[in-house]
Amino acid sequence: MAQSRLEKIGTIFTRVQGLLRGGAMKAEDKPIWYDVYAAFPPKLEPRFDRPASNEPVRNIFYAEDVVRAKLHKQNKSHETISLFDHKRRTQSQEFVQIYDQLKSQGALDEQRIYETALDLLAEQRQKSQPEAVEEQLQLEDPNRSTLLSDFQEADHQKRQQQQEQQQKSQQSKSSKVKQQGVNISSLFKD
Amino acid sequence: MSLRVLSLNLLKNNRNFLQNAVRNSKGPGAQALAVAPYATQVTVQATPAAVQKQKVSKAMKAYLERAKEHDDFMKTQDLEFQIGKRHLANMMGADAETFTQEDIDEAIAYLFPSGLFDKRARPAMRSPEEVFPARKAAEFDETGRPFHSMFYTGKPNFFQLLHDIVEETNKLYDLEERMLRRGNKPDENQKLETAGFQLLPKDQLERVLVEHIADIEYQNFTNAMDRLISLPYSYKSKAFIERYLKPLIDQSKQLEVPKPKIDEQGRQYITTYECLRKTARADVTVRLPGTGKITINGQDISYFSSEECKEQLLFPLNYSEMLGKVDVEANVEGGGPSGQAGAIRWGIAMSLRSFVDQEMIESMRLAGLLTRDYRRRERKKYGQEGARRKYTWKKR
Amino acid sequence: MFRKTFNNLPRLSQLYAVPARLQNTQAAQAPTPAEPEDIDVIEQRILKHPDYFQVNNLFTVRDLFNARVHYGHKEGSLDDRMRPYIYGSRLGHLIFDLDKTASHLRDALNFAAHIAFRDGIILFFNRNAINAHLVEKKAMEAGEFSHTRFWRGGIFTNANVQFDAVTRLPDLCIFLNTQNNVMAQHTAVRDSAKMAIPTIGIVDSNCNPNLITYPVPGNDDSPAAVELYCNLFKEAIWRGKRKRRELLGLPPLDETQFKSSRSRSSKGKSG
Repeated sequence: MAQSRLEKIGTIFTRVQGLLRGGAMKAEDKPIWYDVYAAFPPKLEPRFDRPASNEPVRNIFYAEDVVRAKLHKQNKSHETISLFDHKRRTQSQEFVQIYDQLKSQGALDEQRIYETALDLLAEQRQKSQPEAVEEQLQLEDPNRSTLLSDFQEADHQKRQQQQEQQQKSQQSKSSKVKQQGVNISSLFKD
Repeated sequence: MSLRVLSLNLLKNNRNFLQNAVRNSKGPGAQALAVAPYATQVTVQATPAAVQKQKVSKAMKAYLERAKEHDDFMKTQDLEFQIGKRHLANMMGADAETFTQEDIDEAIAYLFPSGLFDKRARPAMRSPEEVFPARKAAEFDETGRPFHSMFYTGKPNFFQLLHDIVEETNKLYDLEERMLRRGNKPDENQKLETAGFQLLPKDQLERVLVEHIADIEYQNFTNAMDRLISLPYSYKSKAFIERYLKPLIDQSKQLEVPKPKIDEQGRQYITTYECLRKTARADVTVRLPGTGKITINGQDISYFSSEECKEQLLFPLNYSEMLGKVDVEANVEGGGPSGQAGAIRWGIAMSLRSFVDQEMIESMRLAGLLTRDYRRRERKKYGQEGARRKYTWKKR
Repeated sequence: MFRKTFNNLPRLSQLYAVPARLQNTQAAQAPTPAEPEDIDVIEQRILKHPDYFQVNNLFTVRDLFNARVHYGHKEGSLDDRMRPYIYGSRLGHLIFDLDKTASHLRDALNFAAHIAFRDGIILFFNRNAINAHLVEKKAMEAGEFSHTRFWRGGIFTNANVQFDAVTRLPDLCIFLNTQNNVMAQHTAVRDSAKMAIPTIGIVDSNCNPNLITYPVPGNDDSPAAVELYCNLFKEAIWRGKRKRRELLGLPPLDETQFKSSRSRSSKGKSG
């Protein structure tokens, strides 16, 4: 194809346009994209030297970030999260939900809400977890699959241990906690 | 007869030329064919909303030209080959019509005897289809659109192969996952047996693919294949894997051990002829129930005066723990003491194979006892004292 | 003989039929006048329709979100030229503005469909080893071409030597990732610009979108996102191709045949 190979000058469209206008390229040799480009030009010209913009990148924060950060800072998470499982809600999601509910009721101050939410979360988990494990076990016939059921058993045991540990740690920690205002930026630095 | 036909052609890679040749010859006609059904379609289907002008791309035009040139060239070459064959048949007094390629080879070996060592360098006459390397047929249609999805990589067949290997691997991963869920295990009996096989070597793979591949690309191929073969369910894609496996040469034949014979006294014996080392040559006979008697040219082991030579002799017996259990008789001629000792040593070792178990043979092979020592005396060079040693020289 | 008459006809149809059809471009498949037009005329005419191949309905912003298109790289690797497409930074990770991504992607899909309608050659690129197989497969399924391997210099700029023959270059390059590795841009981006081949590129937050004709800001690493892009482009390309065959009165192609791992021609292979 007769054309300029200087990709740094103009755009592919302007270069071909120049050739067509000057007669260096015949109308029948016109590349097939030319008319499509003319009809649907891109939003910005694809020039090599298009200057970069200097827009600042804003930070994305949510209202619940404060309490969530507090939760993670003061409690160690022993949770295993499966990235393939979209249905199961994580502990911090549950916690934030409980916290919001409590807050919307409005009676308590923030620290009290936080502590109550923690207790409620622990309670909820104690209630829901054995059931969930049982359900899973029922789904899979334990006699048929040896390996899977082994894993599940091990998992079950591990979770129970974790629960006990966590309860202990939460109890000990929640008693210690006496912080009122939380500085967001300092929490995120960790 | 024209010597042009008999030119010293190295037989290039025998690619699937015939196929290509057929396709090449179709080349010019194919375009006419492509037009015809199109026209009829337009008439049959009464109202298509559009028509397309038949365009032939620059690429196709260039290809058609080249194909025509090549066809003409091949035609003249084939004609010359036929004439040459006729002449040869006349000279040999055979019928030209039934003169085969084998007859041609024989005739040329008779009429043009050559002392050249390399067989490929001797005069030959082959059909031009074998002599001239196959050219790739057009890889695109009339509009210049390539046929193969990976055409722009430059090595479409090779990368297609890699793609297929990954496809198979993914299939097996899925299968394994499903089987594990069901609690099934791979069938041990069906396990893929790859012990006597190896992957196609690079040159053969290149021939199969009709493409040149780099070393690193061949390595990618072997890695991908090894991964596929190592999967527990690899027997499920046996047909695919076996296309790229080649049986190894059977080595047991080379190592076939002769059976011992029985002599008048009822003893087992084995004789190894032509035991060579340097310029010495020996025949060695080993008899099994024995007392450890060694006879060399009618003398005992004191035939060799030096300690080293005696040690050489005894080494295979010692190594295989047969010292004192067998009798050895050897006739040796030519060479010096160490050559003679080496020749007998090799003969003893080879003979002993018949009297020891397979494990010991393998061990002896690894110890180098069964390997012929091909080293010869190195000639003296002028300007030097010996083969390597230089004359004493002092700068000043 | 027939063709001669047909060649004359388009000019007639240009005179009479075109103005009437302009009002309703979708009516191309509706009862048409007996005289067929030249495909070139139709190609020009459908350009007036803002979204002839209906690529708008191919995806929603929710689909993009589910495929994790909004994830960018970390803030430190941001290329300043990508700033306008960034929604914000969540704890140091950049998040794309999916509204902008969607509108750019629709432009790109529309362009791809038009090129496919014009029987253009479309070449898919990807240098990410995780997604290479996927891209090759989808390109085959779309009946188009792929290059996911090491880029030998000069495949575009020195094609006639590289392929030992006069070669038609692709009419559109689709980059599912425009980086060669973390540091450098794919050479084919530059070469396409040199050879005046338009490009569509998924540009992540660390890429340079300047030379890409139709950049689509979005995540170019996650297999889920790449699969979504591939499926969208495949469908857009098929819409263009189907329409062309329909207008030309050719029987529709069996699209499942392209799904087999062997592509259309296995001629070169002998075993």
